Amino acid sequence: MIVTLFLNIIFGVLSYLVSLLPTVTDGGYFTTAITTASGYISAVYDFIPVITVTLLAILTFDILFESGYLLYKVVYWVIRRFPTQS
Amino acid sequence: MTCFTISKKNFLKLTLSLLTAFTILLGGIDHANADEIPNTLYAVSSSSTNAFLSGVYEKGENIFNRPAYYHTSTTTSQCAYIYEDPNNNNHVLTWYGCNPTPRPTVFNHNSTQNLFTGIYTDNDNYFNGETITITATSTIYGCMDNMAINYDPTATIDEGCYYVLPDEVATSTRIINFSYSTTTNKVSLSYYVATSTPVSLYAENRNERDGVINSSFSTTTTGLTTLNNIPVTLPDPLNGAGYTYLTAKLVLGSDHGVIYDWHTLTVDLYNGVDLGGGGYQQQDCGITNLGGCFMNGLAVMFYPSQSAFNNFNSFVDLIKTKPPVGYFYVVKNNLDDLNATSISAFTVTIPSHIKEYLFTPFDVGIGGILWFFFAINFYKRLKHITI
Repeated sequence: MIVTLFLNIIFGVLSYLVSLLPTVTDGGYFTTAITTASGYISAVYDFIPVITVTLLAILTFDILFESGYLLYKVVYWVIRRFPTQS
Repeated sequence: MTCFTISKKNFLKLTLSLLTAFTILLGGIDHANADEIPNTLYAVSSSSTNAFLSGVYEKGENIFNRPAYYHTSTTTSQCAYIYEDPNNNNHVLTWYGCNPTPRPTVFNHNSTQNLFTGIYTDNDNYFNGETITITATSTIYGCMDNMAINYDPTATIDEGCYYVLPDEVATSTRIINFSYSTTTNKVSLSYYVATSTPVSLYAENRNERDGVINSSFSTTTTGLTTLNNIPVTLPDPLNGAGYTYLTAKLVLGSDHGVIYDWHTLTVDLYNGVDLGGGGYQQQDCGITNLGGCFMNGLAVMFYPSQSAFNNFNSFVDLIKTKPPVGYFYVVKNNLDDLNATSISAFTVTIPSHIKEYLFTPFDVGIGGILWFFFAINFYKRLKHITI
C-alpha cells in the first residue's frame, strides 16, 4: 500500500513531465536510407567483394574503437571531477 | 667496398610493390583453382530444359557461383542463392544481379525428405519452364542420440534429448518428461500409457488463468509417446505472480477425475517486458500460523500492487516515444524492420574471363593493400592513445 502509493506518485509525475516533450517520429526515412545504401553496397559487392568487405569492416572497427576511447575519456573526466581524500 | 643503401621512402615503395605483386599473384592462384568441382552443390544432370542439382548448402551461400557445373548457358545462373526465410522457415531460391529479370520463386522445404522443389519459370529465351530440384541438407533441430526416446534421425543440430532413467522405467501410465521453453513458449513432454483404456492428457495453469496448453489431448496409444514443441497459450496480459505454473495431467479419458499422473512445472515468465506484478504468494493465515498473517500484512503494506507495475510499464512505453530515448528506439525499430536481403540498386554484367583475370586479382590485391595500410595507421593511432 505504502510502496504502491509512492510508486504511483513517482510514475505519475514523471509521466506528466515526459509527456510534455514532443513525440519522436521519423516516417520510416531511416529504413529507406538503410535499404537504399544496402542496395548500392550489394551491387558493388557483386564484383569487388573483398574491397567492399574490407572498407566496411575497417569503418565499423574504427567507429567502435573511437567511440569506446571517447567513452573511456569521458568516464575518466567525470571521475576526476570528484574530490578525493589524501 | 660498395655500400648498398635505401632510403625509408624507397623502402616503402618497394614494400608496396612487392605486396601488390604478391596479392595479384594470390588472385591468380585463386583463379587457377576455379575449375574445381564445387563441394557443396553440383549438377547431377542437365538438359536444355531441366537442371537437377544436388548437394549440401549453407544458408546464404551462392549456389550458382560455378556456372560451368550448373547449366548449359547464360550467365544469369551466377546470381542465385538460397536463404531461409525466418518468418516461415521456407527456403527461398532467389536471384540477384540477374539481367534480365524474371526471378525469384519460392522453393518449399519438405522436412521429411530434405527436398527442395519449385518451379522456376523464366520469361526470356533460356530457361523456359525450367524445373530445378535441389536436394539439400538443412538445419533441423532435434535429438541426435538414438538411445533417447525423442530421437530424431533427421536432426542435424542437437537440441536436447529425453531418456528413461533406470529408476523411471515406464511400466505404468505416467508422465516421464515435462519441460517448457520460455523463449518459444512451447512445451515438450513424453508419457507412457500402459493400458488400452483411452486416456487424456492435458495441461493447465495451476492458478487457473486459462493457461491451457493442450486441452483434452486424447490418445489410445499404448506405449511411449513423445510430444515436442506444443504451443502454449499464455494468459494475456500476465497478472499475478511473475511466474506461473503449468500442470500436465494424464487422466482417464472417460473420467477426468481419475488421474494417472500429473506433473507441475514452474515457469518463469519474469522478463524485462512483462514484469507481471505481484509475485507474492499469499501465506496461510490462522491460529496455528500467525507468522503467515504477519507476512500477509506486511505484503499488503509494502508489496507493490499490480497498478504500480502497470504504471511503470506505461511510463516505459511513454519514454520510448519521447526524446532522447525515443531517438534510440526510432533507430532500433527501423533496424527491426529491415530484412536480411537487399536488392541491388544496379547490376554490372561483366564477362566471366574479365572478372576472373582482372576484377578478382584487382579486388584481392587492393583489399590486401587496404588491410596493410589499416594496420600501419592503426599502429600509429595506438601510439597516441593515452591511458
